[in-house]
Amino acid sequence: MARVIVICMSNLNQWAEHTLNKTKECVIDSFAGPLHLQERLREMGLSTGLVIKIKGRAPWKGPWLIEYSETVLAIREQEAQCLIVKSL
Amino acid sequence: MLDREVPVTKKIKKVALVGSPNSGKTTLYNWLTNSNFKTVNYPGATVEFAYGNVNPALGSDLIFIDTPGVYSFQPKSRDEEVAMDAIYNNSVFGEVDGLIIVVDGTQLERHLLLAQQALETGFPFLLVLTMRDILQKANIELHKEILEKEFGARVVFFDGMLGQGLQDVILESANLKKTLSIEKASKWNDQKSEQLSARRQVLATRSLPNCEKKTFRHQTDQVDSLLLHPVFGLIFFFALMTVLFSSIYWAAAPFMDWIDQGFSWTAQTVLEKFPDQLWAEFFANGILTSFSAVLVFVPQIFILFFGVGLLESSGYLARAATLIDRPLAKIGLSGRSFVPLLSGFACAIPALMATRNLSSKRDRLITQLVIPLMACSARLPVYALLIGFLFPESPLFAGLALATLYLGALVIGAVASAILNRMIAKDQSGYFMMELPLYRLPKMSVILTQCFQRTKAYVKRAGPAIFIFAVVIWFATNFPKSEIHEQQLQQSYAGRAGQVIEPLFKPMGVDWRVGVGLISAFAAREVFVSSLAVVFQAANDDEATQQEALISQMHQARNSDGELIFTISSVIGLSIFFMIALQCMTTVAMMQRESNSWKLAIVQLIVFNGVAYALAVAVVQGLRSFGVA
Repeated sequence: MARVIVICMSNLNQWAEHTLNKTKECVIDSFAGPLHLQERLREMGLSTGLVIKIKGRAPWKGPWLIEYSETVLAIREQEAQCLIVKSL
Repeated sequence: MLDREVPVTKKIKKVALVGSPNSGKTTLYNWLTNSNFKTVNYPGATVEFAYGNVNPALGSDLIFIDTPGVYSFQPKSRDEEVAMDAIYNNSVFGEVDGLIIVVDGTQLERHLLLAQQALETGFPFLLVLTMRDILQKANIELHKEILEKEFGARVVFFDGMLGQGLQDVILESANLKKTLSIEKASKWNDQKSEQLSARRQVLATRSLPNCEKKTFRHQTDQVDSLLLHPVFGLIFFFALMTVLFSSIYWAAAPFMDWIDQGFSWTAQTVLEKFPDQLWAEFFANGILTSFSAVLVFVPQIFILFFGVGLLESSGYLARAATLIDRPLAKIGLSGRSFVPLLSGFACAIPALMATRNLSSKRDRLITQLVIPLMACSARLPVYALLIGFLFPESPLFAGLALATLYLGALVIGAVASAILNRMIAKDQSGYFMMELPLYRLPKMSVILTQCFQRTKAYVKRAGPAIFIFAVVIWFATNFPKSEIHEQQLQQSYAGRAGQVIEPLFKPMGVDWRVGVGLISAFAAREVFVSSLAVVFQAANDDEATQQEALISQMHQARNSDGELIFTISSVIGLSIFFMIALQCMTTVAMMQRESNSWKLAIVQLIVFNGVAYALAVAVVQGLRSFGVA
């Protein structure tokens, strides 16, 4: 059964370590947060149902690197919070 | 707006190039208009619209408009607003007659969003698919007829490397006809966004049927695994920056010697052939000395532009911005600020314009305020002279000293930014989302052409100021003529005026002659060097080159109290003054334009120069109190 995970929960690092390191792939379930950020994320090609792969993170807990549709996007944690994903 | 000076008539069709960042718009525009605008492998490189006639050799009567990259027709940053203004209501043509939607064939699903939105606007448009070479290398066929049917628009392939498809682009652009009234694209609700996204997915899958499971990113991913590594990535980043800025010194040295020797030989020949001729003295000691003092640094400036050009073309800048986003965020900046800041090392003017792709007004403002602290190319001749004075025999130490000055500029910028971060109220509009483009091998011919253009522009900009100050300073230091040669300088017009301003510069450890140089640097920073060369009569020395002659004169120069002027402390003080002082009036004017505030620009001018002076004085006096000469 799919597990719903909010990327930007306060325990993001824990989530990243325990979930992403195992699967590294998840699917976008929905969007949340400020509307202009949701809009921009959609404009950059992210949509519900899209599978994204978490490739890693920049140093000093910098932006996440996510891959989808031949695109790699660096995205800060607070923007990543707008993506609600579930593991595959 | 970059004016190409084309005759604007109602009959000529105006077609705007619209596309996502890094889709290849500027490359297409350069082919269409035979232009040489900078093409950069970094999202958000174009921040201003440009227009130009179609290349006459291609035989058509069209005007093409290049616009900054957009992710949608709903702008979210200043550069995206510029793009939308350019197509709906630009200051030259008003509304354009049609659009070319530039779509990266390897990013089809994502980039077709603009075509879907263009349909809503009513603009007639043509789809131009770029990056076909990458598709072909991967043996992927793109079925354009599916897209033509979907959008009711013609689709043309274009190869940015070879220019293939250019005639088709022009032909189809000429056929664009407005049949609908033009409207702004509406905001989509979530449901519609999802529907259209699903539609794009279907279109991409059908247009690229054999693309499944293939990736164009394999090599890029391999490189990224190292360059974005938390440890190796940072080591590489700092090593790259050190090599870039230190190489400016040692790589340019042989070329600088040739230029210097050339000027030196010319000046000596003129003085020998025409002894005791006033015009020959003016030409050799005034004009040639002034130009030699600055032009000798052109190789360094060329190398700086070349290094920045390589980084821009390779695709690494987006990675660098990502790597240092977090530390920059701590001081109120964004990873996106990195590129304007790096551009600031070449020139503050394009750097200030580059801040337009920052979404947050706050981030933009802080970046704009900090950019003049970056060590621009105009500071390079000053630094090189001062370092040459401190380390005359050691290119290695000189190179490291130059790298330290550049690093110092970053540190001062970081401190200023941290202060501004506390002073300016936070906003919520900022975000960091950065596409990491595929790495590309830089095209040397393009980079070299751009370097030549930028270096030429640098010389053209500095040339008139150098010439005017050469004339003024030579005249002011040589007249009225004194009967006692040793007192000529002190009794000259410049010498007399110098006594008045000397108290201002004495706390910095220098005398009025350096003060004249510091004041003349407000015309252009490089003029400081040429002014010193004239004031200290560098051409009269017997040294092999004029630069050596100037440094030799600096070593011997004494003030009216008989103390050496150029000492370790005063040279460090001068370096600090130049690191902070805002002497470029074009930068002040550009700051006003970009911030839309004269008040801010003038406050910045006063604060930067005040702090520069105060810090220089504090450092000189502090070092002297510790016994450093």
